[in-house]
Amino acid sequence: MDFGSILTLGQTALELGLISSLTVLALFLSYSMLNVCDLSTDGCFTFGAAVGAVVAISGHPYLSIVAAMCAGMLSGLITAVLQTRMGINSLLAGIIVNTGLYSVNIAVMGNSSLLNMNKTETVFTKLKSSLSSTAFVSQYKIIIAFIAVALVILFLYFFLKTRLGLAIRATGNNPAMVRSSSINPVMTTTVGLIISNSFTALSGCLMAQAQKSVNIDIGSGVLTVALASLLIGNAFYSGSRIALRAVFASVGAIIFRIVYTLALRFNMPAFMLKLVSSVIVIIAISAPYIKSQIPMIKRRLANRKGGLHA
Amino acid sequence: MLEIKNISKTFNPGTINEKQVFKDFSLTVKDSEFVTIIGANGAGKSTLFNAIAGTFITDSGTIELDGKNITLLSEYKRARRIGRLFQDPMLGTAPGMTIEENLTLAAGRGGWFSTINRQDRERFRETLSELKMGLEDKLTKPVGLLSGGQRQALTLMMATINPPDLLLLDEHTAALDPATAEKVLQITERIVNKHSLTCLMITHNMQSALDLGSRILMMDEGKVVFDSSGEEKSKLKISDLLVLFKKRSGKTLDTDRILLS
Repeated sequence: MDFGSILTLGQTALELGLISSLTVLALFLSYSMLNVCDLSTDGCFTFGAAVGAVVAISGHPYLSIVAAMCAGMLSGLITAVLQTRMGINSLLAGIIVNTGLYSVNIAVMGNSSLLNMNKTETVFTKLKSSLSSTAFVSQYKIIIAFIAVALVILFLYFFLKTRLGLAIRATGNNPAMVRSSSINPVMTTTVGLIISNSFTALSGCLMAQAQKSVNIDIGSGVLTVALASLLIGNAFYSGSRIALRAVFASVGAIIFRIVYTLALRFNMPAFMLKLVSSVIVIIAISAPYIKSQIPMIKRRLANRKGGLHA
Repeated sequence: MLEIKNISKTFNPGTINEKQVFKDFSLTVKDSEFVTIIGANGAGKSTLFNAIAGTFITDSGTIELDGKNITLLSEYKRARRIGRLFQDPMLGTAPGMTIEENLTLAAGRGGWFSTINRQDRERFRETLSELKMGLEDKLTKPVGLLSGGQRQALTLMMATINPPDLLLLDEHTAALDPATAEKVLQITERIVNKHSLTCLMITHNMQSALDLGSRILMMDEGKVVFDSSGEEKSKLKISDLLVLFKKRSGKTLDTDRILLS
């Protein structure tokens, strides 16, 4: 493999990593801060991709970003209302919305499961043409993805310091305390899910526009991949500085993509991606638990060795 | 002033576990009154607090706080005017957040998008220094690193940083070691006196029920069986309480958990 193709691979990994890290940041807010596992993530990602694509195809490249984020907010609002106002378990609420969104997404794409954006003007093609005479022309995808990630991290950094942001963190940390501080946990959960889903939809929208097509399966497995990335990021930094945790969440997404790209180079079939991400999530979540059980297992084994007399 | 008029509450109505805890229960607590509440397990002490704080809504009757009817208000809305501490020191604070972040949530000043400024920090430092636990120098440390006693003292500060119309203390020192419990009780007394708070305190420690406050209530099976205040209260001894309880409820006070001294 020559240096040129390594560079291209690295660049693709970075692009995809940055774009999917927007979903990781969404989970950072909903899973790490609010302590809600939002199972509507896959559907919401596709929803953002579909809405963004349809608006872009109709000739509004900038509006498509806004429209996708609004779609995500709507999806987040519904998930939140189901679990806070209608007595539906939070995991179930996510699954229900995810399932419902499948039909909605096909309807949005005009009763089709595939939309092509080869000739569509998007933020990516806009930047590409305005950079056409400079040395950065081939980096246009990275530039846009990087700006989006930087803006979202900056937003989270400031937002999580405000009283509303603190209230959202406290809701995930100790709901009883939130109620006794005269803050409505229904409100904090709703706001948190609306914001996190807008990031998920943005991620889907940029992913579709970067690869110039949407298909109905674009979001399948996104949640597990993003969770794996989040946990990889956590392994590097899990301290108390919120901004750093957000940065490492995105770094986790990039690392995940790089490892995945390398694995593909060593002839791992592409369909293995989801199994690998599942295994990463299993290991990352179960390791601390299993580690805590080891002393007990050792004692039991020792006891058994002692035989009848033990 | 807290006015509870004729409240009733039955849990699990129509089932085999049906249990009526209150029937036409009434209680009036005057402004700045510090009431200690004692009673055996299951007497309805904590349930009374749950009713006042809005953890559940009563079946009938009214609850008024300073002339405002709060009977149907949800728990978080009542929390604006009612501060509450539980036995478990872990319940009142968010362990993953810093001391100043916890205080900010409790202080509730400024809008939703306001952030902690130097003025807030100054105020927090000043408030915390009253505890004499050195917490004022740990504003940016996570609360999870504090001891149970420190957390309970911090919770007390959070509940009273904006003096509430009513403070509910539900055995808030029972989970602490005796020395720390004593310290937290002293702080409690100081804060309650400083803001002349209206306060209800459940305790299993008969001595502190007699030492603290201006009025004592003894509860049994959802009723107040003994109510004493002023000079009469100050003359009471633990032995008097035990005799009174037996006379009024027809049984001996469950002394497993009750601390006689």
